[in-house]
Amino acid sequence: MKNTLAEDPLVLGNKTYADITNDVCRPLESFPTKMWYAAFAISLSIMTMGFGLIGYMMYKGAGLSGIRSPVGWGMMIITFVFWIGIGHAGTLISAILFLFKQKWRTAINRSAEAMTIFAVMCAGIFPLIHTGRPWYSAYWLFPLPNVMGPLWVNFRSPLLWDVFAVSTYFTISLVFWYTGLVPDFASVRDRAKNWLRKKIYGFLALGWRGSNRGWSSYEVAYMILAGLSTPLVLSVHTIVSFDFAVSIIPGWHTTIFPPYFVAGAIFSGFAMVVTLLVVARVVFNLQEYITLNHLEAMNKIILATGMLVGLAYATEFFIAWYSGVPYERFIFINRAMGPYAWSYWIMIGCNVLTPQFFWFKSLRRNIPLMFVLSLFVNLGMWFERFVIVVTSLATDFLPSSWNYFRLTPWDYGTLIGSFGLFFTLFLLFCRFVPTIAIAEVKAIMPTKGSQHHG
Amino acid sequence: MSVRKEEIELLRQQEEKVLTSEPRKIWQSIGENSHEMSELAAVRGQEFAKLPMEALNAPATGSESLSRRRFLQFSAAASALVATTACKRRPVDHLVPYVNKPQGLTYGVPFWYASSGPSGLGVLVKTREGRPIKLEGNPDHPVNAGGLDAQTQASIFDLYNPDRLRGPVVGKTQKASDWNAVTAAVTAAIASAGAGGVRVLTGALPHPTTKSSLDSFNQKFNGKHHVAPSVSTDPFVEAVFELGGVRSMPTLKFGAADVVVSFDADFLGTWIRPVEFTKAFTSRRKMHQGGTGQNKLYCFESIHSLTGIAADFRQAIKPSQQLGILMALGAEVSKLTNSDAGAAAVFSRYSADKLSVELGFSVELVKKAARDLANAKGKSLVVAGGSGPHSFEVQMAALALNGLLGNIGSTLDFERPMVLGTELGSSFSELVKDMNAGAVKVLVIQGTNPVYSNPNSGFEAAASKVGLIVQLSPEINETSKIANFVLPESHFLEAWGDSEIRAGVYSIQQPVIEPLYLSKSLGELLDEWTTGTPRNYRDVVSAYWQKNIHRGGDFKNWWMEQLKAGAMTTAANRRSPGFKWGAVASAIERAKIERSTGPEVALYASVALGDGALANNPYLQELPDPVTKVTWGNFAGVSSGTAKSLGLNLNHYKDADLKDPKALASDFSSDVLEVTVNGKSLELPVFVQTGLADGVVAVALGYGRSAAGQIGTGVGVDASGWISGEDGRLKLRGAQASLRKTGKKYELACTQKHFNLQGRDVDILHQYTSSEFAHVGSGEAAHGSSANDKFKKPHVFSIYDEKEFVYPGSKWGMAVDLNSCTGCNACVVGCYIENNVSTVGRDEVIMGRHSAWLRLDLYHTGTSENPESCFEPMMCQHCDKAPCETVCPVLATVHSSDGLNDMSYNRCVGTRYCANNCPYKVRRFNWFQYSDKLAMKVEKQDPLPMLINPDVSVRTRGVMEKCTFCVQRIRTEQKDRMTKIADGQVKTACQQSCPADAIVFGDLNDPQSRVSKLAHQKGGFKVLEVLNVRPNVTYLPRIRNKDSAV
Repeated sequence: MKNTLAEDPLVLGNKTYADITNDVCRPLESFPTKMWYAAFAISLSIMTMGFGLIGYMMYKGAGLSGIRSPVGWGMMIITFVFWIGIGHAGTLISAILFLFKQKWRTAINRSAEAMTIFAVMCAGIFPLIHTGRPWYSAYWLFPLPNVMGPLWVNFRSPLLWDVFAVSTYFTISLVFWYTGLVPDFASVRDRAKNWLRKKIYGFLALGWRGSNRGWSSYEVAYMILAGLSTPLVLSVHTIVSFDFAVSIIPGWHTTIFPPYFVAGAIFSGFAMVVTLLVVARVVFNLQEYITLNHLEAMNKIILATGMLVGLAYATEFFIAWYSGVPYERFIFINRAMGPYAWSYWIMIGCNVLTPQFFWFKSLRRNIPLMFVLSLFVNLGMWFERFVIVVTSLATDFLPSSWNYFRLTPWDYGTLIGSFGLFFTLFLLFCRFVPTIAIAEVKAIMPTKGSQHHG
Repeated sequence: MSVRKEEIELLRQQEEKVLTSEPRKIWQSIGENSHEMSELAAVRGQEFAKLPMEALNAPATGSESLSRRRFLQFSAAASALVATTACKRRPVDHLVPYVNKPQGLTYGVPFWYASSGPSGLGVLVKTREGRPIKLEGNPDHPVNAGGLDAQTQASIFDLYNPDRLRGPVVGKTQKASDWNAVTAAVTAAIASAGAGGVRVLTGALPHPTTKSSLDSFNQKFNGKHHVAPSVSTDPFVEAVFELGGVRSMPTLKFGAADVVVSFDADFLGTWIRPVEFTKAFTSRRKMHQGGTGQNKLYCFESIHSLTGIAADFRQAIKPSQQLGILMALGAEVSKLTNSDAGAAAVFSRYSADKLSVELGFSVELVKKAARDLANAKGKSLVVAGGSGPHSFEVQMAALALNGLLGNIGSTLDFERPMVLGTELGSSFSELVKDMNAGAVKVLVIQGTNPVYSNPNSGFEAAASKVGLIVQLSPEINETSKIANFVLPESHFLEAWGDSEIRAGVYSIQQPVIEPLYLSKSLGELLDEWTTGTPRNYRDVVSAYWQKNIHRGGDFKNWWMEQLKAGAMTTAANRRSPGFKWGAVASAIERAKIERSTGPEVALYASVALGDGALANNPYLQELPDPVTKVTWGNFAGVSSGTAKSLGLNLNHYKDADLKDPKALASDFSSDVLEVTVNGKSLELPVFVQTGLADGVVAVALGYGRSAAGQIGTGVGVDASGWISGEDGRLKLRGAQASLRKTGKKYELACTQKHFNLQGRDVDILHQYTSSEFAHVGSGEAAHGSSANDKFKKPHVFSIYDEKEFVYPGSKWGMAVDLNSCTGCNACVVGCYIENNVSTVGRDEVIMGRHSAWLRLDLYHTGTSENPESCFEPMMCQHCDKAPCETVCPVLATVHSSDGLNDMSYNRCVGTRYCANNCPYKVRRFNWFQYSDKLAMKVEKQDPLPMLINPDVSVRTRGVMEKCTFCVQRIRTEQKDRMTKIADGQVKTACQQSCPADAIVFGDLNDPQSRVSKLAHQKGGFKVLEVLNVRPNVTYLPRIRNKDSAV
């Protein structure tokens, strides 16, 4: 602050390398706190309830959900898109910011990537269970050889593209995350005092010895994977948006969707990272690694992407008017003023108005405020998908078919259940995996005498 | 020859090979040394062939056999597999083949029989392997000519209804009895009844042989026949009797009328015989047959009916105004014509303007109608119905007005009158009187349910004074509790009989299946009681026909011909009565035309359920009311003005005014009103609807059955307690009602929730007035390019440079004439039965999950009180560029080479993407295992599965379904895809039964087919053509004959 040209240190508290390893590994090596147990118990119960509901739904039929004609997609697809969007921040932080050599990412990339993977897992459940016959869609959607004659999947269907996009995304994200974890697993292995622990982490560390050659290969591999992940940040949500954009339904059939969806995904993803880290840094005592500067940087991104999203909303409206297509015009006016206006204004309020607070530095660095705002953004982004999916379908071409969509308790239960799954996985992650990339943080430590310059 | 040659050649070659190969070996046979034989040599000496797996892994020595370990591995795997496949316990089913296959029967090929339905309409019955599965209209029947109403089509369900009685039961306890006990009890009671002690109460009985059996029964036992009053019959016959001296119901020739004026007579929906009237009326609405000659319909009505929707001019009235408006019309007509002085005198003392002031109605339309009527003398028709407060006077006045217009003998045909089957019995009130007097010892009830439908008649109370009551009924109903015995009645598909629904038009009712249970028909039963021995009723019917209908020649051949044809016509032999109009004026004077303030109730028989006799039929319960689209229940229909004055929360009726297209509802629950009529209060959910005058409460009858069976019991509210009057003069409308908001809420199950076109006419629904239509260019090229055409043809193009797919052979398409369609719902039921479409029940309909493949969209424009409404049948449009096909990830919906959008249920995983992307929203999803249950509440038990059409897959949970253009019918006719099918050879189920002939299906590749010609018809349009999905259903526009001179 004194020298405006000098960057603030990325790690506070004059840590030594050993401190870092100690700090990060502590949650793994100590007995979990009561708070962790409480949180885990709650998450696990919610997850169990969610899977119970899903099981019963499979037994009885998709009709337990609130979907109805003409709204053929409801909570499940909304939540699918929502979770996929959440995942984007992780990939962006770990891959794109890596390629741009944004050093501050190191403190948060591990947990952000974990979030990506868990979010994609949550997301992946929904397209499967939303189908009428999940026991077939689980494998008929893949181009597998079969005995039904020359029967293949439909490569023209965006849903099929989804299958490839999401599975690719999940695979790459997982490999990328794991690659980054290898040196840290080795650190944990080396610190392990117990035989079993040594075996497990030793297995996970893939025989990492920290040799020069190892590091060299690691750096190359990491760079390549970052390069591979980067287009995925753009492609996955682009393809998810094709589910809508390729259709002919007014409100869906629009070319703005790919950039709009990607911006929205990053927006919601960063909000989720903020939500998680604000809590995690306190609970695991990592304030000195995940500093206010990190949080502020993320808030800046939230502000920027929030503005992008707002611009997209405005553009949609403009194009609906400018196109002269009565159906488009109707859908957009109806969104803002029709029976679903409440959801539209929740969306606008949370996604466009909320980030405006972040114009002010003091508010950007206000932790309770950013926590609340990030929750609002998450809520708003869920409603954005609600608005897109439901309002477009409910009032399309023929007024005779119009209907009003409502969620049922089954929908709410499954939606909440997916959060249970997410937090269960995240809590396990905090407990068993170094939440901060030890090796990478060490590389950006402020060294004595010379400020680190990126 | 050639084979032999080849063999020799082969041998020669092999020989050569062996001879020339080095080094030479001694060989034992010619083949031994050839290349193929070397493999054989390798395994020679091994008794057992190797397992394929073993062969793969084994070293090339070929000496080892199956190892013990390997064997155990294989057997473990095999038993595991067997165990897995046995996880599901499958019920044991026995397929019983024919021991001797009936001659002429081929499995999978249906037999068709001509017969006649319960109302007497000619039907064709489709049977598959001995079980009837579908009813269609008999095209050779002169009255319905191929059309068939929704009720008769749905009545095939009643044959298989699990609620049917399987043997006689004791009525009060419903304990099983047996026929011997019944016969003994009845015979004893009849024998001791004495003169006039035996009575038979029936519904309408247009069945001559049954009637003759009834007559001989009554003759032998000194009995008497009574007919229960029906809610859909007005005192028309009484009026004819009063003024003309004969009990006769003239055939109303709507086809010959240029101008029709209806006063509450919903002749296209429920009044008397809608199928016949629809057929005749719509024959004058085929604008594609020249474009001129369309009839003109004026409708003054107190409910919003199908007739009102078909009308060119409509005025909503209160029931109390009916007679006044009719007199005003008569007065205006009498000013313009006085060809019949007697009739003119009836009206000339009234003044339209004065009446309009007194009663508070707008007189403009009356004057306009009068001018048109006067210009169409002898070619017009005035009909009145609705059983209003002055129903008898109204009928007399209408008859007089027809007399004044010279319609009697032209559009009212007394020479070949209709046979209602109610004319010949004694009255119901007389029966009740005699019962109370203790004069009735034995009462046989059939075809009517008086305890439910005539609660005010005192019948139920009087029943305790009758010695023995025997009810013949297919199921237990409300009347069963007063009956000593309830006897199972045969379904009309199980019993012999006949019908005469127009004088001299006869058809035989032939059974197509043995009675499923120990049931009998009325004719059989009475004949058995009369003669003392059970006879084959076929012999009775044929004897009656031989005696009364057959005119010379070989009877046996003639009889077989009649069975085959299903209908025959004898010469007309009645004379038109001479009418004297003197009595009309005084009767009307007595009736007092007065203005009534306060709300009035308007009861009506609903299009789906009629008087409620068929309430236990899920197809009819789920059939939407054509105007409000409400299923599974009735309601109090009120206008938005009435709703506002009652302070009802208009949140959910935002659109009822048709003023604000953006006012979409999000909450569809209704306020519950307490409606009190004649001191009897009922709580009814409100439906704020179009087409009602302020101050009218429209309530459907036929609901609220208390003992209708598993489906029908307790659906809706029973309003029959509000019926007053007796016999043929029931009063359904005009009683004062008081309304009170209860504060309760109830959600009605509607299949359509928004009726506003949103200004999308050009894309969705083309409606013209006759003069606007005159400007439309003809032919496809000209259509839309004409500068004066109201609707411009959209400019559609693709940004891709695409090659058009040329359909080899046929390309199927459809044309729907919106000008003919009356919205009667016959097609909807036909589609349900043909395609095994499931009923889903009230809760699922509320969710918007009804599964009709064909729905009748209804749109209103104009004012809420007198909207211009139009039906639009909506089914899969089988688009050339179907948006559903591209988005299905598993190719479950694809295009056939003859232009059909096929759906393969087996492949469907249920992503519902296709339904989302369908702009017509015609795809239906199986949210639950709908096919297992009726309406999600009654388990499908025997014999219900026999109703299933074996040509159509029963869909499982989680798959999408939709209209297939009845692909099974096409494929049955087609031996292969290239077979040319004659035009009209394949008719879809909806097309076949349409009484209005509004649907035409055929080959668009054949320029001479009817559908091709209609597709290029003047004014024809495609729905949402602008999307360029290239639908294959052409709609012909609705034309309102507003301004053409008659």
